[in-house]
Amino acid sequence: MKTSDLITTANKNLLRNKVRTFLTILAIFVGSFTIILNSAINAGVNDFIDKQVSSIGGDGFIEVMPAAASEQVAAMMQSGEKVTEYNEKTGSMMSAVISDEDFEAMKKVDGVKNLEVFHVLTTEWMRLEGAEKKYNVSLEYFPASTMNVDLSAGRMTDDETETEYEIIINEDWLKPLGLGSAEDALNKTVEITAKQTLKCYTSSDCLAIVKAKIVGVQAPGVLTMDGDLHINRALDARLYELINEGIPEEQLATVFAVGDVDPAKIEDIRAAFKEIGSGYNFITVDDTVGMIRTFFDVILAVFNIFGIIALIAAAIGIINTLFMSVQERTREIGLMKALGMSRLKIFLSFSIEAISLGFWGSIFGIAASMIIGYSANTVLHAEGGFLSPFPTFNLVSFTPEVIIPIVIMIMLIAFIAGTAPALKAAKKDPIDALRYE
Amino acid sequence: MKTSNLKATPAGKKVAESFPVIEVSHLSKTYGKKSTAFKALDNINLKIFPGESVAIIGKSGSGKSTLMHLMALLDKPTSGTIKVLGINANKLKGKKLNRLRNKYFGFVFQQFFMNANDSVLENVLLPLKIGKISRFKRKKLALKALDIVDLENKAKNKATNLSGGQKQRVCIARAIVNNPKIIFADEPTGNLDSGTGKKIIDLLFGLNKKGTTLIIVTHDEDLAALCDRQIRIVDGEIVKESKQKAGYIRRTAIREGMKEDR
Ligand SMILES: Nc1ncnc2c1ncn2[C@@H]1O[C@H](COP(=O)(O)OP(=O)(O)O)[C@@H](O)[C@H]1O
Ligand SMILES: [Mg+2]
Repeated sequence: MKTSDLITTANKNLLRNKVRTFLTILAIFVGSFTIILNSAINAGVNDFIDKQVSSIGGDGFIEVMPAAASEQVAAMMQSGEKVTEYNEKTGSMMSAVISDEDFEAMKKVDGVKNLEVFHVLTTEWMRLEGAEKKYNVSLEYFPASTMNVDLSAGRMTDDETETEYEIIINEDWLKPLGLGSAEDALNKTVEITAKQTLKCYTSSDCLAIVKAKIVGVQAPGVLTMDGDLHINRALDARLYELINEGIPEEQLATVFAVGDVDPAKIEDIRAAFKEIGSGYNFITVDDTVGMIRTFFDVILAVFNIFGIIALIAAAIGIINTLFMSVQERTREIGLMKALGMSRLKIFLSFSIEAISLGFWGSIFGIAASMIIGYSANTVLHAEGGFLSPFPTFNLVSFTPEVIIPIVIMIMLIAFIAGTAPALKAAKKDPIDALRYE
Repeated sequence: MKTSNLKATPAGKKVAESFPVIEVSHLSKTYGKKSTAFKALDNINLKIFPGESVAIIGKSGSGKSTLMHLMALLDKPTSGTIKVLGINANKLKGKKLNRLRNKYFGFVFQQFFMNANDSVLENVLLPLKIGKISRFKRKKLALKALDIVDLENKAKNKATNLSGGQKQRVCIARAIVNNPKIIFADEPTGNLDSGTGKKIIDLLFGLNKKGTTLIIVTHDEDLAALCDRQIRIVDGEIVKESKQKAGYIRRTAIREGMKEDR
């Protein structure tokens, strides 16, 4: 028999006893539905976390600070002590800075792709060009290459340009700035004021205005609620220059650095940084969001256990169904063997029946979980819904990478369940099967 | 045995004088082991030549079906050898054995053995499906076979909805669909009344006349008498082999008689 004939015959045989087949598929369906929906939610959640993560920096994004600073903070956080012992080697948290020498040394560590000084920008207010109302604003610059901001309109900032000043606002700013939709905001100019430190000692007129263009609007998210707006390198440099105008270079201290490293080498880099100068630490995005991920993983793992239990029950159903089928079709099997069908083909024909049961069970599982998943997503995103503040968070994600491995797994389970009955069929003696009485 | 010099018969049938299609020597079959052992066949020797019609006759339980199953390579003998189409069947295994049965043998059973839920056409083309014949070709051949048994118009019917005689005709169509060299028929009329039986007999001998070797297992003396040769079995042993030259004449007479019946 040709493979195509084996498959059509197997499916036809399944239709012979519709009720039994239906019930078996139903059992598989319950398991596959649970697992597929679960995995789709898992993928949706992770997808969203990934988007959030990359909006504060991708996998390779690091924030570097002197060990003194991070260790002192950690000591205070962990032990709750308000007074900590002075460390001769690292110095105090307040005085700890990144020296130029150490900065260069860190740049040379294997796996470090980019390291930049992080500027603390003392800005005063921001307003739409020509508008009256001013708003408090806080800005920060990270290399655009380390980030992947979840945008609802526009594009990412350009760090190559030296003359164009660019900013990305978030959706919360649309209304205050008097802008309608995210699209309306694009290419509008805003005025930002830098507080010029030195000038401000002597004069109250010490704010310098810089004009910047809105190139993108960031979608709301859970991890970006601090409200700092992202700007490009040129604007960062310009603001820093204005803020520190007149201050001698050597008096400007670096307290933070941000960079992009090879994610695979993070632990080596961490060790290397500890050895530089009086030691440096960094935090990655994973350090920050790892907790959130673990939380979701645990919940979904529990649901997956239910799904797997359902699949085990379904596998027993398949074994039972096929043994009944082999029993009923003893004579037919004998006839086919007499007519020259090989043991292997007999085995395959029953195996294919088992695999088909798994296949149909998972197809219905996919269909149902898609319908329910997408409906739930729509409902939760509706006005006032639980997810309405996060338009880019899709509750479920049904990508082939999510679905195909599950379908294959279920078909494999079905195949394994079908082996015993299929072997029994393959071993049937045509003479016994064809003997009358 | 002097079967090797059979001549062309009055009915125009050519019986080759060449080597036998089936050659059985010192064949024994024992069922069960030790205390429950039962010798169903004991030292059977026979040759069947191309184009012959042979009846294996004997009482119920005498070992006819056992012999047929062994000759059709559905079962393995306890001792002795079977040569089919010149090939020593003891050495045939797996794929080759299945292919031989699928391409060269046709089977008709007393109990029909049809897949009740399939259509008549599906039942007839089963051997071709197993033999990997293309969809188009097997349908064509199956319809041709159904035409021969005069059931072409029932092709789409469900097999269960047929009468006994029609069922057996479908089985004959299934047996001839692969254009076999040898047809094995085990009590082909055993489940039919004599009227319908005649039509089946007529069909089988019609095929035999066209050159297919026919081996009929039966306990019916009248049916056996229609064959070229009768191999009589009693308690697993051949007691008498007889040539019945009159077989052709009687067969023709029956066929003529049936025409009048219609
Ligand atoms: N599988 C078997 N196990 C034990 N005895 C068997 C088996 N098959 C057949 N027999 C016995 O062998 C003898 C011959 O059987 P069979 O060839 O079917 O007879 P027939 O077809 O002439 O009626 C019978 O006595 C039967 O009971
Ligand atoms: Mg019998």
